[in-house]
Amino acid sequence: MSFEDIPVDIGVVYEGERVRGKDMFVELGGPKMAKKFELALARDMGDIEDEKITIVGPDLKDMEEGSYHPFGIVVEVGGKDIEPDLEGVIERRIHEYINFVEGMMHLNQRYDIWIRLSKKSFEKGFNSFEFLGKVLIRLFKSEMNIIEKIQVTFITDPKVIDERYDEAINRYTQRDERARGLTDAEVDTFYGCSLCQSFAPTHVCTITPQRYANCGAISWFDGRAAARVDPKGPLYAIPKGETIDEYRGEYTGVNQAYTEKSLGKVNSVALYSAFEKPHTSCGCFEAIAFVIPEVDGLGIVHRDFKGDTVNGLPFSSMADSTAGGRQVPGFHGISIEYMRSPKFLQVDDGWNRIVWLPEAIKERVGDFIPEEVKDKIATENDAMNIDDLKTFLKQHNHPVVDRWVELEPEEEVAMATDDSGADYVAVPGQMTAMVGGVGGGLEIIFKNAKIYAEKVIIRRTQKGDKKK
Amino acid sequence: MRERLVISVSGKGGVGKTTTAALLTRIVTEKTKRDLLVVDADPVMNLPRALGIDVPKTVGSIATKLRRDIDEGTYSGEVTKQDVLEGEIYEALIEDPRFDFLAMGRTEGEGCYCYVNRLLTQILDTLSQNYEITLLDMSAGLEHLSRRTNRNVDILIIVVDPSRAAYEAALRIRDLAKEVHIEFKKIVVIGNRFPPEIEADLRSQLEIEGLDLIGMIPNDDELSKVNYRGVPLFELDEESPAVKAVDQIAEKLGLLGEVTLLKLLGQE
Repeated sequence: MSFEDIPVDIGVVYEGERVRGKDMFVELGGPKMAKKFELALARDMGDIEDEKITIVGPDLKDMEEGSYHPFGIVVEVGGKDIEPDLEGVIERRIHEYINFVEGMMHLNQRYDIWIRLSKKSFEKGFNSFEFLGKVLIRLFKSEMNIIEKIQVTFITDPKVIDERYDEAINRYTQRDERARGLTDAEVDTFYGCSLCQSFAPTHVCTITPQRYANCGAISWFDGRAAARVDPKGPLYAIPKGETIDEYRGEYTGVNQAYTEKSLGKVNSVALYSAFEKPHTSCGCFEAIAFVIPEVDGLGIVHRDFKGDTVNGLPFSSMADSTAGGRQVPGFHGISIEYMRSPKFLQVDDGWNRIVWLPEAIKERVGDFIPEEVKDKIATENDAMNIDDLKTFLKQHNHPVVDRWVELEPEEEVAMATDDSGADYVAVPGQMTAMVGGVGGGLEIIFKNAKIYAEKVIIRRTQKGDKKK
Repeated sequence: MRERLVISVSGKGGVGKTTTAALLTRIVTEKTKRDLLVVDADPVMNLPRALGIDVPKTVGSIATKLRRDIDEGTYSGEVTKQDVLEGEIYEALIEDPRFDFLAMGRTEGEGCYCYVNRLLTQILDTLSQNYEITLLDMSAGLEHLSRRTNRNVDILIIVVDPSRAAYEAALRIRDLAKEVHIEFKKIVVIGNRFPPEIEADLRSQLEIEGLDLIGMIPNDDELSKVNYRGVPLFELDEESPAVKAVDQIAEKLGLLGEVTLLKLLGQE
C-alpha cells in the first residue's frame, strides 16, 4: 500500500497525536458545532461506485485558518460478507485511520466527532478531503478484506448535514437496540478481565453480552475494544469453546480460562447461577445476591445501601463473605447492569427467586423486573427482618412461597441447634454442603453462617430446583 | 519523536507545592517555547487560581458522571467507554496560549473505579506524550505514590518548609518511591521559606540522606501579597526574590537550556 501521492505521512506512530488549539488549521465537528456525525453504512454492491470520493460543501482549501465547521463523514461499503451488523465495527475504524494521518486528530464517535487538522500538515499540501478519502479507502480495503467496494462522502455544507443528521441518529439508535439485544449465544468470543486480581488472585471476570463485569463498568463491547488494542493486557479474549449447557451458561472456553487464570483454583463455572458453581466475586462488585435460607430466596443489596439489610447484616459484612475470588454458593457479587439482563440468575429462577432488594435498585432496574413479580418483592419499606419478610411474601404470594409448600411436609428432617453461644466457626464459602444420594440426597444449610451457625438444617433437595 | 519530560511536585501539605508548580510554569512559558502540559493532581485544586485560569470540568467529575451513567443504565450499548472518556478528557483540557491545563479533581461516590482509572491512566499517558514537559502538582500525602500514578515521572521535586514534619515527609516520599519501584531519573528537594542561616544545615542533612537540595525559595513578601489577593503568580514582578529563585532552579534542572535537558534525559 502506498501513500506517496499523499502530502503528509500516514502511520500508526501518529495515533495519540494531539493537535493543540494554537497549532490547528481547522476544527471539524467538535464541541463548538451542534451537528456533526460519522456513519458507516452497509450497501448493496450495485449501489456503490467503488473508490468514489464526494465532497459536499467547502473543501479544506476553501476554509479560513482557525475556523470551525460542521462535519459529516459517510463511509458506504459493500461486499458479499458485509452486513449491517458490521457497521459499528467499520465505523470505529474511521477514528483509527484518521488518527494515522500526520497532523490530524480524531476524537469521539458518532454524533460527537471532533477533528482537527494542523497548520503544518495543511502547509505541506494536505488541503483537500480528496487526500483523506484516498487514505481511508486504501486503509479500509487493505485491513478489512470483506470490503469489496467502498465510497466516501465528506459533508461540510450545514444544510446537507442538517438533512442527513436524523438519518444518522436513527441508525445509531437502531444499532444500540441491537447491541442491547445481543445474546451470549450469538457470539463466539467472551472477554475476561483480571484487573482485580491484585485484590482477588483467583478471580476471573467473564464478560459476555448478557453478563456485564461485576464492577458494572465493562461491557462486552468494551472488552472487545480493549482486547483488540492490547490482547496481552488485563482484558483479553476468551474463546467460548464448546457449549456444555447453554441454560446454565457453561462453556469449555470459560472453564479453561478459569483454570489458567486462577492457577487451577477454579475450574468450572455456571455463568447464570448464584448457587451452583457460581462466577467468582472480586471486591469490586456493585451488588450482592445473598441467600436468605429461611425463605429459600435471594436478597440483593448494593454498595450504596446504608445500614443493615433484611437479614441484619449490612453490605460491608456480606461483602467480606462474598469477595476474594472464591465461588461462594449463595453469596454472589453482581453488577446492576446484570439485573437488566434476561439471563439474570436464570438457573436459580431469576427474578422469581429475588425476595428483597433496596427501593433504589427496584426503581433503577424496575423496567426489567417482570410485572407479575415486581410488587411481590419486598424492599426496606416492607420488611427489615425475616419474620416480616415471610409474612410479606406470603401475603403477596411470591413465587418462592410455592417452594415452601413443596418442602413443608418433610422440611426439617433433622435439626441441630447449638446454644453454647461461645464457640463459633466462620465458614465463608461453605454455606451449603451436599450429601450424596441417589435421586436427591441431602442439602445441609448453615443458617446465618456468615457469622456463626445458629442452627443446622438438613433437608431433602431437588424438589424446588426447577431446571429447564 | 520529540523528547518528553515528566516532572512531579510532591511534599507535605502547605509547604508550597502549588506555588512552586505555578512559578515553574511561569518560568518555562516565559523563557522557552516548549510545549507544556500542567496537571493539577491535587483534589484541593489551588493551582488554577495561582495560574489564573477557570476550570469548568475536572477529570474526576467526568469519571463520576461515567460511573453514574453506567449505573443508571443510560449508557449507550455499542460505544466503548474508552472512546467516550478520551473525548471528554480532551474536551476538559484547557488550552491557554501559553500552556495546556488539566485538573484531575476527585471522583465521588462509592463503587469500583478499577477500570475507569485504568482507562484514565492510558489516556493521560498518551496525552502527556504530546508535550515536551508535563508538570504535575501532586496532592499532599502519599497515595499517589502507592497507587503508582507517578510511575512515568522523570524528575521528582519534593518541596520542604522549615518544619520537621515536612522534612520527614520528604524522606518518606523518597523511601516509598523506592519501595514501589518507581524509577525517577532524578529526585531533588526545594527548600521553601527557610531563614538563610539554616540552608547550609539543611543541605548537609539532606546530603547524608542522599538527597540533592537544588534550590531555595526565600520568604517573599511580594509573593505573600499576591497569594493573599488571590491573583495569578504571572503578575508577580520578575525581579521578586521568589521568581528569581525558581528561575535558577529551572535552569539547574535543565528546563531552560536545550542541551542540559537532553543530558538529563540521557539522550546526548
